[in-house]
Amino acid sequence: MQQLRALLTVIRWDVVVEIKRRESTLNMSLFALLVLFIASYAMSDSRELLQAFGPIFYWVAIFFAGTVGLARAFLVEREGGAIHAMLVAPMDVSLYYIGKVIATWIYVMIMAGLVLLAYIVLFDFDDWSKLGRILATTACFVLVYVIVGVLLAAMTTSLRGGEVILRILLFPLMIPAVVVVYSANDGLFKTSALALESPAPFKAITVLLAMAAVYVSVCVVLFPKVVEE
Amino acid sequence: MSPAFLVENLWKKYGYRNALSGIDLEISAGDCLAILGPNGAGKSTLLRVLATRSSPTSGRVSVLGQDVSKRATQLREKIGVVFHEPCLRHDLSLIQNLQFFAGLYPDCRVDERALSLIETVGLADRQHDPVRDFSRGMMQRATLVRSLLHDPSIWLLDEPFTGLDPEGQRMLETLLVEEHQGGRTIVFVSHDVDQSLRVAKRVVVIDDGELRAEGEEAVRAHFGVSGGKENV
Repeated sequence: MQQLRALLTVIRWDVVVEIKRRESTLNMSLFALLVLFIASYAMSDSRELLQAFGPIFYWVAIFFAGTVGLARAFLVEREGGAIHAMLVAPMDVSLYYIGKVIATWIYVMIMAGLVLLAYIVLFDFDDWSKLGRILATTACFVLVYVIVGVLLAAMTTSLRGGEVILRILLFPLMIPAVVVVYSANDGLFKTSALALESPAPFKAITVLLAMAAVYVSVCVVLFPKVVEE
Repeated sequence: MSPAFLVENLWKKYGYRNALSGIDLEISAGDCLAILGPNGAGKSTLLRVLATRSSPTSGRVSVLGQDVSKRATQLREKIGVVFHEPCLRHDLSLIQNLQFFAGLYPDCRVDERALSLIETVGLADRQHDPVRDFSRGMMQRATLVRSLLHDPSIWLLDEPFTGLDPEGQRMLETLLVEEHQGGRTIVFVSHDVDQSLRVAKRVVVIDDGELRAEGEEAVRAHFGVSGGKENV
């Protein structure tokens, strides 16, 4: 019960700090919205182009903007050394990792929600029946993304050039998840009766959840080693 | 009664460098021990190992009779630590920081005792200000409260007098004496020989990762200092 209380404390106060700072969410959202705006402006002459390439820019925006949030995931604790006090608290170190994953997932999903809104407006998306499956796929993709990213952020935050190293390490590890969401793109974004019937999004969600389970099992074992002195 | 700490043949290596080289040390429950030594001697490393923040390369550390390598999470309930850094979340106020850390300990709340500690360290009128706005000395005072919030039976402090003004240093000396009289086991790292001898019941010197001297005379002889105010 105490471990659950500690987990909720980590999540709650991470969100409180983010509400106070607004740095991660604001930075990520601005970056993602700019990507979408520039892409939609460049292709504004052709609705076909917008529909063909829009989904790719949707994932690109979330993927690249997310690294901004990940890079800041441990800055709050590193600043002033609060992480040391947290790591001598009677909380399972793996739970601390889980707490950071959940809190980071919340910020990245706020950004992803804004990206989806912008996508609807800028890319003339009007197939409302697909919103649920897009959101579910995005939530699962972001989950895999933060599970891997938070561990890498813990490894790289205190390094010189940590943000760059984080991206270099993160991208290859995320290739399988990117391939999965790309394979589901037609079923998620294309507006045809065939696309609506496509099982690809549901398969993608299943595969992403399986990936999340595998990654999280590995990361909870690795995290204590990463933060240990 | 089990000692607060039993350290047996403790080694800690960073790469090829030995930070601690075969330390043996027993600290009784209720003791007040000062660890002295020059910069880079291994004092802070030893404190971090005792605090369960750092794991030994080899050797054994027991806290209250229990092996740290097996029961670190449970033992952390009994230990309060003041690190060299403030260890506070800068965006939160002192009260919010205490609420945050209280959530990490069982049955811990920001209660009357915590408020009285805030009063003792002289931060009562700044408790709702963001810690980011605090001076170094105020952060040090705040971290003292944070470390005692869960009423630990063992209090570890790494250079706790750093950043404190003379009034703050007197406050901390008094607090250390009172907490020791109240039965808390205290281990602190310091550079000030006289201050350490004044506050602690027992003093040891660590140099080059090894325990080199123990007791007032041996410590004074080690540093070649007399009864005056001396820093090492």
